[in-house]
This record gives sequence, C-alpha cells and structure tokens, in this order.
Amino acid sequence: MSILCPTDKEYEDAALNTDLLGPPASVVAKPLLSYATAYDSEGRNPSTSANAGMLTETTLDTIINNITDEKTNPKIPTIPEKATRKDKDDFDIKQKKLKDDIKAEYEFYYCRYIYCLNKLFRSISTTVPSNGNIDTTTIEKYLKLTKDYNIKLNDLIRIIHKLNTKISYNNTEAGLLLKGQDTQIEQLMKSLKEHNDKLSGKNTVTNLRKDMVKYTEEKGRYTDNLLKMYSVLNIVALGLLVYVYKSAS
Amino acid sequence: MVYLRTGNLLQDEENISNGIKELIGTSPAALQTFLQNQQLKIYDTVSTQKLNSFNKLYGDLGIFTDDANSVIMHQIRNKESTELNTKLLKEANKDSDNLVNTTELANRKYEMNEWSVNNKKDTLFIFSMLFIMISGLILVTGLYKLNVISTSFWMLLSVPMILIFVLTVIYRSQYTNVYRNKRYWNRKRFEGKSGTIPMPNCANVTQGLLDAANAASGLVPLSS
Repeated sequence: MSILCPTDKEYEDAALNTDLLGPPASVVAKPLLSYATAYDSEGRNPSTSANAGMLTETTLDTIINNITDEKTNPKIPTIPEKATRKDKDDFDIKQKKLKDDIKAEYEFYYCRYIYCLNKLFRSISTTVPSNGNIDTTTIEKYLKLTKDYNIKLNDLIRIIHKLNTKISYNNTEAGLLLKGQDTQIEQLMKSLKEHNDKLSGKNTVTNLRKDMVKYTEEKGRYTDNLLKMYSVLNIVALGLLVYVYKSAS
Repeated sequence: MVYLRTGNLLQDEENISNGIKELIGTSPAALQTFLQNQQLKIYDTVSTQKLNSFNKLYGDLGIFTDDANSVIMHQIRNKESTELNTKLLKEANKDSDNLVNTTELANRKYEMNEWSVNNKKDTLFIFSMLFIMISGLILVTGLYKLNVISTSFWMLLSVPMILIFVLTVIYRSQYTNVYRNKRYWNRKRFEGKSGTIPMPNCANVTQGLLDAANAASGLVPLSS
C-alpha cells in the first residue's frame, strides 16, 4: 500500500489553514480526527512527559468509544453476537468503507504535511545561506503548518493504533464466545450420537417385534390349514357314519 | 505499534551541526549544498517514516478486520450448525416416538395374533375330538350293524362318547367366553370373585409406624 502525493500541486496558504480542520465531506464523510477536535486544547500529554503533545490514553479511549459507538457512527464494524449472512455482508461493506476512509484521510494530511515540509526546507535553504537575510515570516508560517499537520498525522496514527487494539480486543472477546458456542455444538453432537445409538437399539427391538408378528401370522396360516383339513375329515366321517348306519338297515 | 525514531533525528542534528562548523569558514556555496543535502535526507527520512508507520498500522487494520471477518464466518457456521443439529435432534426425537409407537403396535399385533392362533388351536382340538368321536361312533355302529354288539352295548358306548364331546365343548366355550383373559390366552380372569390374599393385622406395629410418621412430620407428638 502506498500513498502517492501530487508533486506539482501548489496549495494556497488559506487552503492549507482551512484543511487543518479536516478533509471535506466529498473526500471522507466522517473523518476519524473529527472525533478528536474536542480534545485539541486538552487531553494531551504535558510538554514535560515523554510523549509530549500527544493524546493521552484516556482521551484516546474516549475517542475510540465514540468512534465505535455503532449508533452514532455505523461505519465502524463491530461483531454482532449472533451473526447472520446479512451481518457478514454489512460488515464487509463497513470495513471496506472504514479502510478507504482512513486511507483517504491519512493521504489528505500526509500530502499537505509533505508539501509544507518541503516548502519549509526550501525556504530555509534559499534564504539563509545566500544573502544572510532570513525570511522568518515564510519559515515560521510553514514551520507552524508542518507542526500542525505533524500533530494531525500523529493523532491519526495513534487513533488508528488504538482502533486496531479495540478491534483486536473485540476479536478476542468474540473468540471466547465462539469457544462457548463450540462446546455447545459438541454437546449437541454428543446428544445426537447418543440418540442415534439408542434409536438403532430401539430399531432392533422393533424389528424383533415385527418378526414375531410375522411368525404368529405364519402360525395362524398353518392352523387354518389344519382346521380346513379337519373340517373335511369330519364331513367325510359324518357321511361315513350315516352311510354305515343306513347301509345294513 | 508506532516507534518514534528520535535517536536518528538527534544523530542527524549532530551531523548537521558538525557539517556546518566545518563549512562555515570555507564557502557559502558549499555550505548551501551541504544544507540542501541534509535537508533532503531529513525530508526523505521523515516522509518515509510517516509512510511506514501508516503502512504498518493499515496492514494491521487489514489483518484485524480479516480476523473479525473470520470470527463472523465462524459464528455463522456455529449458528447454522446449531440449527441443523437441533433440527436433526428434533427429527431423531420424532423418529424415536414413531419407533416406540411402531414397537408398541407390533407388540399388540403379536398379542392379538397369538390369542387368535390359540383360539384356532382350541377349535382344532374340538374338531379333532369330533373326528375321534365320529370315528368311534362309526366303529361301534359298524359292529352294531354287523350284530357283533347288542343295541344296549352300542348305546352304552355311543352315549358316553357323545356326552364327553358335548360337555367338553360346553366347558371350553364357557371358559373362553367367561374366564379367559381377553388379551393373554394363557391367563384366567378372576375379576375379584376369588377373594384376596389375607394380610396379618398387627395393630401394635401399625400404630408404631403411624406414630413414627407423625413425629417425623411434626404434627403429633410421639405417643408414650
């Protein structure tokens, strides 16, 4: 991933000062640094500390909480507790938008920072050694702009870093939730297996019962045949009895 | 993670000041060239550093969002898997119920068939008995017609045979219709007419048990 700044573009001084307020809505709809504007004068480390001038951890936490508050800013992706395919699609769109916005915002400040830095060095090198006259106005102007843009870039970097930490933390939390879900699924599978085992056992009993029914039906057919045979024998015997009784008389 | 390369910047600053000290007395042109080179170097370092920091963070962001993506996919997979397993479990329960019903039905059918077969066997017994009786009658009638036996002896032999057959038919018919269990062929129905097995009446033991039960429930104190 690279950022390419236009080398031949000249920014107007007024525009550079205005751009410090943030990129226009046409570039980024809701820039990350817009959440940090309230902390410009406060919420930064004192000049005596190691990270002088940088946003404090507390301030960063507040900013990140504001950014990741889905209700106020739905573009920041969060992991829903029970995700659906639609959530996945929404997440894809949101994360792409977030990454594009971050890149556009950083590019916006970075190109202006590079431009001001370049201007600063040029003004120093062209004025100082040539005739000894120092163009303090130009130098101070670009020095201030460079410094301001540098602060913006540093803030942005720290916010992105904090955002990464937050997303990573969310992932870890969701991962723990997944472990619980995995255990639940394993238990369900175990229950299903036990059920199937029992079912196959019951199936054996049912098959035995069905075979027994078939056996009794066979027995019934066998007895029917015997009954028919004895019916015929009895009729014949009765006829014979009548015949014997009548024959001699 | 962001690392501020302050060490390098300090080093650069030291190099610049040493360079200036060396060139300050020589020529302004050389000094200017030296300063320009140093500025270019600082410019490149700073811009690259800013870009690298961002690239690292942007890459991390990509990794973490991909990670979140895979977590979501895992959740979807879990949800679908749970739904599928629950459905399968419900089906298994239904199959189990069906199987139990089928087993019970087959069992009942078996009982009915058994009763029916035994009833047929009983009829077969009557038929065979009738056949034996008729065969006996044919024999004694034949002997009677051949004048081997007298009429009274013929009657003496024939009447008991007929009587035994008729009584047997009546007895078995009555037994099946009245006393035989309608479900199990080999069981007899008593229907409370045969009385019950008398149990010994031990008054003291019964009272003792009642007292113990009452005391345990705390309703009535144990009688002395």
